[in-house]
Amino acid sequence: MMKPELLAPAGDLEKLAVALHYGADAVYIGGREFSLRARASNFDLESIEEAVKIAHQHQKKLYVTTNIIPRNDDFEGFIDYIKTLESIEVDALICASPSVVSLIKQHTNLEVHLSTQQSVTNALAINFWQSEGIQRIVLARELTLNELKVLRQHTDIELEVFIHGGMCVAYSGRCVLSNVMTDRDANRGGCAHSCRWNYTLFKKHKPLESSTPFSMSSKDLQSIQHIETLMKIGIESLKIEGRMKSIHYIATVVNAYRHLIDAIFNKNQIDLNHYIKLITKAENRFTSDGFLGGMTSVKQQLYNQRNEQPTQAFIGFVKDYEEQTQRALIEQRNYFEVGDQYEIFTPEQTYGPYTIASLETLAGHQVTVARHPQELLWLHVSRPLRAFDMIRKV
Amino acid sequence: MKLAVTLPHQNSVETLANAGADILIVGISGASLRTQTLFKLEDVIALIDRVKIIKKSIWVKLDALFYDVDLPYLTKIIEKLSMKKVDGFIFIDPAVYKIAQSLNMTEKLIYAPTTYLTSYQDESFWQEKNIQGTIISPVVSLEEMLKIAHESQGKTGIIGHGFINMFHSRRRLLESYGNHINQPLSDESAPLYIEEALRDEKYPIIQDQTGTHVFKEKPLASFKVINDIKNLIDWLIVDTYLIAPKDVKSIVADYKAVLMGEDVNGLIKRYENSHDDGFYYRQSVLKKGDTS
Repeated sequence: MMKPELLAPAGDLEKLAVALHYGADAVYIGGREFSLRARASNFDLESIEEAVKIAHQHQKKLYVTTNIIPRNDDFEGFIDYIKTLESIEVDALICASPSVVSLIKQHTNLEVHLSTQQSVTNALAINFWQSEGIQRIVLARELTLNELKVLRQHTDIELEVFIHGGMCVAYSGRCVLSNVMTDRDANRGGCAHSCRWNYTLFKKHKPLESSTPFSMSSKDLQSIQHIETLMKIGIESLKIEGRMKSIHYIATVVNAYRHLIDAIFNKNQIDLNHYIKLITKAENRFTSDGFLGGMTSVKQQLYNQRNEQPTQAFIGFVKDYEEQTQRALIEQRNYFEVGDQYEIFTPEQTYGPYTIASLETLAGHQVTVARHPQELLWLHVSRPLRAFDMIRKV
Repeated sequence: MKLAVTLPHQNSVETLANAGADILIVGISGASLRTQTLFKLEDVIALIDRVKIIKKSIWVKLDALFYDVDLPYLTKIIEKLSMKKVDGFIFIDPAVYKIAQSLNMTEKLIYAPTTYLTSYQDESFWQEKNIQGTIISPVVSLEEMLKIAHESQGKTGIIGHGFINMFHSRRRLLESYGNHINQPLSDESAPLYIEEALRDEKYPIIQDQTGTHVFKEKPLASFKVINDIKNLIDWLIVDTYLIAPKDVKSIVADYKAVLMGEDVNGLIKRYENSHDDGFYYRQSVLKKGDTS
């Protein structure tokens, strides 16, 4: 059994550092132009270059999305952009448009992955794209495990499968609800997620009476129970969705899958409930296994639930640690106070619970509460910590 | 410009041909999306003969997304129908291209990907694949469409009339909702409608063997733009899905009349309230670099 790549999202440099710290083998980011999730992206070329340096310092990979379905005028500056990305040494570009693929192949030697926006669902389609120079296919999220098994048997290209996060309800790339309802182009980063809104259903022009509005919204994907099967099938890359998610979400989800993949690969005894419990510490919508377990039903759908379940358990992360004084410099991310019980969440393990005995500002003042977002406070912790280790209330 | 019409019923062949259709498009069971009638393979073969007798062209819709389990049947369809000299195959999935390529008949293919063909650069990519032509996505503006058609090195078409599909999911969303509220909602012959709380539009929603489909509230009509496009666009498709069968003949006849030189203003007025302009005069607000 080969160990797959764990591929994590990053909406900015901080999230990238967190994803790598908590165990991602590779990270994908979007530039300010040419990518979906335009609102999620804070990466200009300078920060992409920084991101590549950070990833490569950790012997990890970095992919950049150029996955819009372009209009006539969207190609301006594209060739210069991809040449610059090549000079920065990004590891691959993720694309959805065939002419974008052609341009990358003509003007660079960059590796090209085909985005899930093309909704590839069969081996012949894979062969087509492979003959266009694609080196990896990000498969449609509509494929069941059985269908993935068959696909794997008939193709030799690298395959990438989503394992966690938000899912398009429609076939990716083939939905214009947002275009129609809001004039925001779903295929160029403007999706308004109209599929998640509430609707009244009319039958023979009469509204159906129900206290639950109709919705197309789906639960987020969570595939802890299927990771071993995906590894046995031979999927090369397991992808987490969520460039707009918080650092705590990314850390929690990445770390849970990291430990699970390693445990499966090392043939350790596995308790799936343990990993499911780990993931629930992050803020989540309700989750299901999507199509991986077979054709979907009501169990995979979400009604009357438009918001994520927030967590305020995540209270801060480590910026620095002083061995001599045994103090960790914590950046506050949620309210906490002296007397609170907390655990320390590191990539290797979670430690605790401990009690916050005292807090000190940078100026040396003792305080009893941490109420200001991103304020920096010293916390006594005897265990040595590293940057991006996290503190959670228990 | 030629008129291509999706065949709502096998009895419509001669009627639509006489009304002005140059090309009849047929759906085939297991391989077509959103078509009024899905014919069995042997029925399509019989239809080919009928269409040829009246000296019209026939295209077959192979516009589903296919899974590996579907590929042997898809191959069989393409092999049999190409022997019967079908004039064109409409496709979205590159699997169709690969099969056609293996049979040396890519020149029959018409790429019609609904949402993907939004630039002349992507259109050009497909034209270079030695196919018959492309159908420009109905989500582009008139200006964008004209640019694509102008730059094209081959034949282009548009969906000029009919209910534009906005959404296609593999999920059975009506069934799931029905289960959730304990009111059965399985595949219905007549569409249901969904209306969002803040919008005064009812979108037809249909569930079938390929999943769930949602359409724009009103069908698109292209009478306003037809004189702008007729010398650039090779095919105008009248998609009859969800259109009342009694209206199809007159719709086709109206387009034919305009193409033959009749004044279009009366038709613009006639269709104005019950149809819309699609995306002809709309621009998406989020373009390159716009990160609102």
